[in-house]
Amino acid sequence: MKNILISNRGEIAIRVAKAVRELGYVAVGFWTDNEPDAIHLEYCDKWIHLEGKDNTETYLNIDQIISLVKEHKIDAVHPGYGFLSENTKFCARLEEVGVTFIGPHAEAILKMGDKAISKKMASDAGVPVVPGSKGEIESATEAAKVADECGYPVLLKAVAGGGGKGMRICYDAKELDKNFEAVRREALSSFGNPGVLVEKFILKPHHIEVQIIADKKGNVYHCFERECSVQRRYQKVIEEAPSPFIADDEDLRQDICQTAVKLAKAVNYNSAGTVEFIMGEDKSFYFLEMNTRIQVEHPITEEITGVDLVANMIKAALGEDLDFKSQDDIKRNGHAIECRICAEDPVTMLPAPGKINGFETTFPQGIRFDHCIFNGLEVKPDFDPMIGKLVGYGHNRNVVLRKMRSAIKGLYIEGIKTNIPLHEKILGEENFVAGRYTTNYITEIKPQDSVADLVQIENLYEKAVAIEMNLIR
Amino acid sequence: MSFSNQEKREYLTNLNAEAELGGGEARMARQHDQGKYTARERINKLLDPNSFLEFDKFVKHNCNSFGLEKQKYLGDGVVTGIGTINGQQVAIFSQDFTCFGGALGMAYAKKICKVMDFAIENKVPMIGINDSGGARIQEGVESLAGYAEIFHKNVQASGVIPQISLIMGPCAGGAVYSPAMTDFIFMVDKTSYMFVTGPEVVKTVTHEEVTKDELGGAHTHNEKSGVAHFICSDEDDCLERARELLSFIPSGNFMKPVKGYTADSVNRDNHKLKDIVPVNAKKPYDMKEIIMEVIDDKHFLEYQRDFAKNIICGFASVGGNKIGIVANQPAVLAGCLDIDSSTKAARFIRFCDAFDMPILTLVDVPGFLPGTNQEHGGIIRHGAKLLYAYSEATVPLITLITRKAYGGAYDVMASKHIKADINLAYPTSEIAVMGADGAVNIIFRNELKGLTGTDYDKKKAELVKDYETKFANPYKAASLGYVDEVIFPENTRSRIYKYLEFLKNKNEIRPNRKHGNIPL
Amino acid sequence: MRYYIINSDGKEVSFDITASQKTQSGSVSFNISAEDKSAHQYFVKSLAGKNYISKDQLSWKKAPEISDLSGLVNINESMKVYRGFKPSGLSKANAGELVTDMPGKIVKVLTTIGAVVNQGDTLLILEAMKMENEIKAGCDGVVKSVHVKEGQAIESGHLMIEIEE
Repeated sequence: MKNILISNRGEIAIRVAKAVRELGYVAVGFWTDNEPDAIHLEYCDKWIHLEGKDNTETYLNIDQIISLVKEHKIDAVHPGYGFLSENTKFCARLEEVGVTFIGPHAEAILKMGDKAISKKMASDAGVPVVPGSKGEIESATEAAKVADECGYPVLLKAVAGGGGKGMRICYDAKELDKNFEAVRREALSSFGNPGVLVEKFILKPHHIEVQIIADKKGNVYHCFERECSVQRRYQKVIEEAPSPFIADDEDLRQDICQTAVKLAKAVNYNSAGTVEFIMGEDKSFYFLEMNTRIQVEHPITEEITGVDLVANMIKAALGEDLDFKSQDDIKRNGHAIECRICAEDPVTMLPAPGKINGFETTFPQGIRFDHCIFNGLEVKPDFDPMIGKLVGYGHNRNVVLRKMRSAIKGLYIEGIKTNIPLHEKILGEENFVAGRYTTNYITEIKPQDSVADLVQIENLYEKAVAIEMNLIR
Repeated sequence: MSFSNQEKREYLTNLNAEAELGGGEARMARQHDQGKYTARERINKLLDPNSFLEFDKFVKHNCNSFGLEKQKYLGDGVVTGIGTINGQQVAIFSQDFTCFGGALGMAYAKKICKVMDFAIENKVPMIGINDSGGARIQEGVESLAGYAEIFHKNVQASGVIPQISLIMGPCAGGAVYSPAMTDFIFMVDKTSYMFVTGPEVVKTVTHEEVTKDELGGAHTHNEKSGVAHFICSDEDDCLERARELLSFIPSGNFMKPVKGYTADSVNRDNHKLKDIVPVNAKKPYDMKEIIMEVIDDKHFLEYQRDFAKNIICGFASVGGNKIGIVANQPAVLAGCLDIDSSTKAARFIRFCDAFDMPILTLVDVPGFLPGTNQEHGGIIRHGAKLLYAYSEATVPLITLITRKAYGGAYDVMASKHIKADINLAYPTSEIAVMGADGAVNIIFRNELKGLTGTDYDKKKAELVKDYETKFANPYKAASLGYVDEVIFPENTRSRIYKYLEFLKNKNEIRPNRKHGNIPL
Repeated sequence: MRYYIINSDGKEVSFDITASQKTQSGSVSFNISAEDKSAHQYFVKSLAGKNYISKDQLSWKKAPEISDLSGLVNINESMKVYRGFKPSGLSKANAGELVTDMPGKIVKVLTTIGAVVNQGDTLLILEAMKMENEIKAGCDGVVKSVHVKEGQAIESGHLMIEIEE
């Protein structure tokens, strides 16, 4: 029986462990000193101690992980998302010791991990890219020339940046001139690479991404698209599949999905991954980047297609056949929405670690909640503030919204601040309900401002009565 | 002409309203100006809403001297009665400064004695809010008699019900003896003071110039004299601290404290304690850190926090069991025992013993503080108080030696020999007659005689090391059964909880006698 | 039982809860009397191992499940719950002044004027009662003045170091 190590924690570790066991393998999980009672261990057969005080010493410590992999005769490692999932060194070290990395081959990670290289590859493969510089820009004058060509506004972007860092919008030549050196300096200090690109900045953009699943036998498929436009500070808040903006435009859907497949094939992709696009109001779309890992929002694709992405990812890595034989086997049906539940202040959206001392779920039919929450969980600052993903599936978008509204009311977490009230507001906000939103949704509509309306003293009385009831019994 | 029912009801309503005004609106406003609440406001804030049942609201004094018959207040300047605090029944009196300056007369004293009798007979804690100018001179010796009757009742109640005094204003002259005999004295910073003779008299007799606050304010009694047990920043704080205290202590003797609720698991490991005791014996550490690690929810109500800081006393709970904690503080005076710390701990222990509260003792004591101050001050009889208190106690006693336990101080700090129930020690503990340095000087005097300079240092170091290996550990004591168990620090909390559970039903009988003769 | 619910800004809500006997239907009634003298009544009933709460004994909803008193959250305010009494608000003595409370000898001074220090940093070693006491900074800040030097014998109450926060 193969030992498959899940080199991650939290809800994704649970998700992967479920798939590992489902496939009949032994799920091996890590526990650390600052989280000895992690709930993901419940889904693992073997528990290994990963020593260290913080993430650098534990989940990011390639040396220790490799030595544990050797010691416990691990056959394959699933890195989850974040941590070492897109680290080519880790990939290479696993290969050295003959252990399978459950993800794409190292070259794909390397090429798609660099913004400049991936943009060039996309362009070469005939994938539309955001107009702008072909590679790194060395001077402000060169930047101005490119900007004139593609038209203002433009975005100055660090090549090695990510997660929204190292980017500045310039609305005219003067702003471009002013910001150029600053972005280069920022890029050097934050990412160690001063390389900067200039790109056309799309107004009223939609963030549309296509799920790719491929095997080691040369088969590359897509599982349709997702829209993740509800974001703040470039972190996704709500995702849905399929995209309400694309809606019934099947031609556009096919176009964008096939384009994604084209790019994946160009790098000989052989695992699960996501190709991200930015789409303007005029429905023209441009390649943004490719994420060569399983993503947080994969459940909504699983819901509308019935495809188990994680299980298939493992099967692909082990050289087995996927669950389906052709693109036609993958059909979409219905609609799904995911709300990321995070330990953060619902108004300021800043992380708010703390200890959970109450947890209850009362959901309607059609809800899936992937989480790592339990009564007593201490959400620590060095871990991801995202503690769960509330996913709803329904016949169509209105049905899903209805179910999600009921589900969010039935999700009770006590002891820490969460963004549950924010989701409650968004799910009832008229623009979101109408499916009318771009990546500027949060900054323009500001749903967080009305969250304070939900504060009522009655809430406190009820909680106090509940506490008293437990104590006097 | 007879009155109708309606008129009779109105009469009562009006009388009630008059009584509640005490000395009048103007005087009540003056209380507020000084940052003080009125007597009734204090009761209403302290007690649960609508739980106060007042006694003797319409009592008036009978004095006919000096024209006092012209001024009579309903209630005669003190509010007494019973009520609940967080559901716990208590008896309370609150002195009303707006009536004659809160001065005590015969009727007033009788009211207090009545509610104290009630408290004793019904086993509820007695809370006294003191805010009084002293005796009512016009009533002459009757005032003094009134005080004496109260003092007598204080003593009858002592050890039967907890008695708590909240000093929220002046408390001077003979009046101080009532709080002095109660179990807990709370003083409010800046607005309360206690002294037997005030600054004016002091000036005329000893020619010292001193303010009321310096002579007997909250800081003085909490830091210098050891008269008060708690200091509060304002009246609200004082009332809250009183509530906090009541959550730990039982309502009366022979009534064990109710087990409380805590979410703090009793099996929680004390990892932090592994390294808390420094290996270098010269390095001090904060004993409070050990206490905080072991108890529930880090909730420790410290008793006489600012007095005799070399010993820590206070209430806490372990697994919901309310206990008293006595611990040497190595960070202050190296944890030595002296006059003040001995008397502080002795009184605390006797309270816990009287009210069936188990005592946890944490020991790290190098001995008694040397010096003429101590010797001439009577460390002999004061230290004996501590020894007496521990020996007399029949409540469960759990002792944990964390580091040093030398000489007589080892015996005094709840050792096995004075009938502590469970004696534990950390691997870092040293139970010996004295430290290595001193011991070597005495035992190996001959070996060291005549040596000087580096030869002396080398030989001494060798002998010290030898002594340390043989005696600087708990194992000699363990081999004789003087220590029940040498435990790993990380198991401290769970161990203590388990022992407390076993000792719940401890029943020790002592020979019958009128009472012992504790050195005072 | 008095409840104090205090949020991180110090804003306080306090009220008293009194529980009464079980009613005929098996529910326990709780009466809340708030600071503003308003009164509220809630009923709690146990069903399938969970508690349900109602204001009128007709409409019931699941009562919040709270296992310990450490924290409550009301939408975007996290608050601490105190049951029975409010904890002490006595401010600590001026953390910027390091005063010794025992006589002793300064063995080592580990800081200088102008040094940036963090709370808990050891600033000097004082030998007293044959113990080497590490005197630590009570707050973050910059050392404003050092009033002692190595080898100096000092009395208790001596101001040793001042830190500007």
